[in-house]
Amino acid sequence: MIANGQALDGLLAPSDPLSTRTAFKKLNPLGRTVVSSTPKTLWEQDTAELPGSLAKLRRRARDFADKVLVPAALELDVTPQPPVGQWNPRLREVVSTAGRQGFMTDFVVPPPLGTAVVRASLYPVWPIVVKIEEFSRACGGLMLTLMVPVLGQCPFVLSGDVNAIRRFLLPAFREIKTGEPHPFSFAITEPAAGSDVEEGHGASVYTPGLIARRANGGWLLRGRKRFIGGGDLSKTLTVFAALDGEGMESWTCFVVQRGMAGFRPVRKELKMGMRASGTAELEFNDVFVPDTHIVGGLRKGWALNRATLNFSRIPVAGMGVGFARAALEAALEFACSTTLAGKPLVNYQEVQLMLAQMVAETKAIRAMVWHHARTFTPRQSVASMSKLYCTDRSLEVCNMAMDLMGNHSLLHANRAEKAFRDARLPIIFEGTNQINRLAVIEDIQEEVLAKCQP
Amino acid sequence: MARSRLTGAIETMLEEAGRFAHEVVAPLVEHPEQVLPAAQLEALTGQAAEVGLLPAGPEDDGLWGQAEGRTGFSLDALRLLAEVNGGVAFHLHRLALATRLRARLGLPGSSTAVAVSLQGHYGLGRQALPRLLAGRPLDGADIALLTDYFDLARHARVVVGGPWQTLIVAGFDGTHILWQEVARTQCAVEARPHSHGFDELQTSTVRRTATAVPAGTADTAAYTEAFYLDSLGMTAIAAGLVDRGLDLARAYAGQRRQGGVLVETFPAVAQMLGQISATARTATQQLAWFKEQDPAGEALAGLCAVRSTFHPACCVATNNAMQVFAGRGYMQDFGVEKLVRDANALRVLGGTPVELGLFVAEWERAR
Repeated sequence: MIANGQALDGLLAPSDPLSTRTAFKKLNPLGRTVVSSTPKTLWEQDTAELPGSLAKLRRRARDFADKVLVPAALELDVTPQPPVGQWNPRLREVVSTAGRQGFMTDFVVPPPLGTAVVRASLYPVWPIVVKIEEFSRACGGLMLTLMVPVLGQCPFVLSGDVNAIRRFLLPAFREIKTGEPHPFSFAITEPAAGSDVEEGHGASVYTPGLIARRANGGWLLRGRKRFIGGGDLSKTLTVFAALDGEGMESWTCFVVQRGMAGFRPVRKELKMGMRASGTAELEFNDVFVPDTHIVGGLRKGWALNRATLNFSRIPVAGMGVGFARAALEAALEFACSTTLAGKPLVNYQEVQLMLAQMVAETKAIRAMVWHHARTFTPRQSVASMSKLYCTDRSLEVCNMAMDLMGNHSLLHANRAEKAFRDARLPIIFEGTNQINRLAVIEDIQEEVLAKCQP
Repeated sequence: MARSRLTGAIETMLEEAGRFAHEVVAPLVEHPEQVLPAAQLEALTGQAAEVGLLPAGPEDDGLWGQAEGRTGFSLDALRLLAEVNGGVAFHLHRLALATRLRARLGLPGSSTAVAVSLQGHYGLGRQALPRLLAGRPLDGADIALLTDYFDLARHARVVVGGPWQTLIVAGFDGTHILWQEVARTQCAVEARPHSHGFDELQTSTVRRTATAVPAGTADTAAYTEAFYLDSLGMTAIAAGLVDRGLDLARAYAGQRRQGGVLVETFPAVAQMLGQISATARTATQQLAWFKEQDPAGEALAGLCAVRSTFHPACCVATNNAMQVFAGRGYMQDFGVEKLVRDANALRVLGGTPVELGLFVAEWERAR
């Protein structure tokens, strides 16, 4: 907070008689209750808008991010990925600590089995977006490592298959709470595919990249999956495959576990950003998956996949908020610590204008995410519009931060360029933002078609 | 007749530059996920001199040479080079600029391992720099700002270039731009690995530590010229990145099928290809105009105005190229993400869009 009597150039000091800080004190009690004049940080202002349980979660997540993620972020961003299947020791320690602190067992399942914030009034996606903003703001790659498991766990929850939750989720949660990592992954993308996994026409001419053939007591999976977040280290994967001789409508969700014969991650990608997290190509060479490892039933995979994406695109929008905040905070720190003609840059009007725009953009996308997270049931148009809008604006905030910092923004240590590289990925994954635009229209088709009637 | 001989000579030089780019540079950078080693960059510098991109001797004239038609040649050659590798293009551009500056200013340095630093430690000197370059009176605040802005002993500057032993630095003596060539040993140089863009080059922050340095040469007009040529070179390099983005995106969209249909036929993709192409075509028109201008004040203001919108458009264009590739575009081995980072670097080197806009507004304010 700015000390009393001081002011930035061109602005009223808080102690000035004309400042709202001073003038509002003269309002009568009723007036004082409807306007605010108490100094608060941006973070405090936002946190005050949350229900108590989520405010507490936000505080806890920020504390964890500051103490555990931020110190590891730059190092893990530039350290080459270890060979497939091996942990970077520092990453393992981060994941282990997150598990011990309850950040990896908080999807839907309440204590004592899990650590989720469960309130009848809260849709489960809201705690996720609160947490994901704090983690993304610290490091995209670490956030992805810690949040991808939720994606992998979604089919269990959305299937409503209590038995599957009991058999696959709860034992993993017990393991995680002891500090032993148990990553989950969600495997849909195939080597020859991309956004057409969810594009309507694509489904009609789909050539499966992973096929399940019937075998005694189960299924044999053969083929490949690509661009699978955390897939190189995951112990449990929800893998979607077409049944032999059938198309995408036959997609079925299979649980594949590390160590199953014939399953192996074959390579990892070299990415622009989110580099602490491995992105793997997976090989399935007649992997036998027993019938008991089918989630939600045969041919229910397509619906589970779409439902998962509808659920997860709001958190992806939340990533955008986190990256925008990372860029904003980097720019603000730079503007306060760098001087020109003896004054911190933040005194110059053009710098104030850029910062104000970044604050407003970040606040606006957070408002959209929190609003939809609060009222949201997994609806395609809402999920897609949140994802596309917030991630696009997030990158723009990163551009603004880089503009504010000028050529200093190129330096890795200043974190703005990292925020840009991290922010660029959510514009592509979980359906490109172009596909998500079409998904918005697809979901309001009935309304649109009604207007097309002569 | 003289004109056609000149045109023919320039065309021949451009063919040489094209061969150099495609036959010498391209094989070394065909794996964009692998950084070009410094030794190979140095070797390329030598080979660039052999094909006339850099002067091989005192009588030679490379990029940014003074002979007639050299500005146009420089722009076309840099654009060609950047289409293959932005970092190599930027390196040769700055080396050639250093050569021109040395010749104009009579600086004694002869090392080919030289870098240039035109900007002060932050921004473009707000309103004070355009006033100085326009020859308008400076008030006390302007002088104080420029003195602080250009003070290399007080503030570290970001320097991007190949390996360097000497640095040609713009400073301010209270009235004029003051040029000095300082040795690396006279500076505190902090290497900044993993910087955004231009992976082939070295990014560092530099502060002068030595108190005894050459007196320097005062020449504000030389600064205007250098700022103009540097900006022009970066514009051409950005255009080359966009050209490359268009080639890659168009090729990919022409072979990638979605739903059984080539993605280039989808409006979502065609829109992006159209924006990339529009940016490249705009660059062609802008560069054609600027190559005919004298490197002086009005042209500089015009170029700053163009760059304030052109570089953001280049960033959108390279991002669009990446988006056409979708997930593959994010992977280093496809080469598109590097175009995005290089375009970002050019957006903030030599003045950001905001700073360039302020520069132009102040230039025109009291005209």
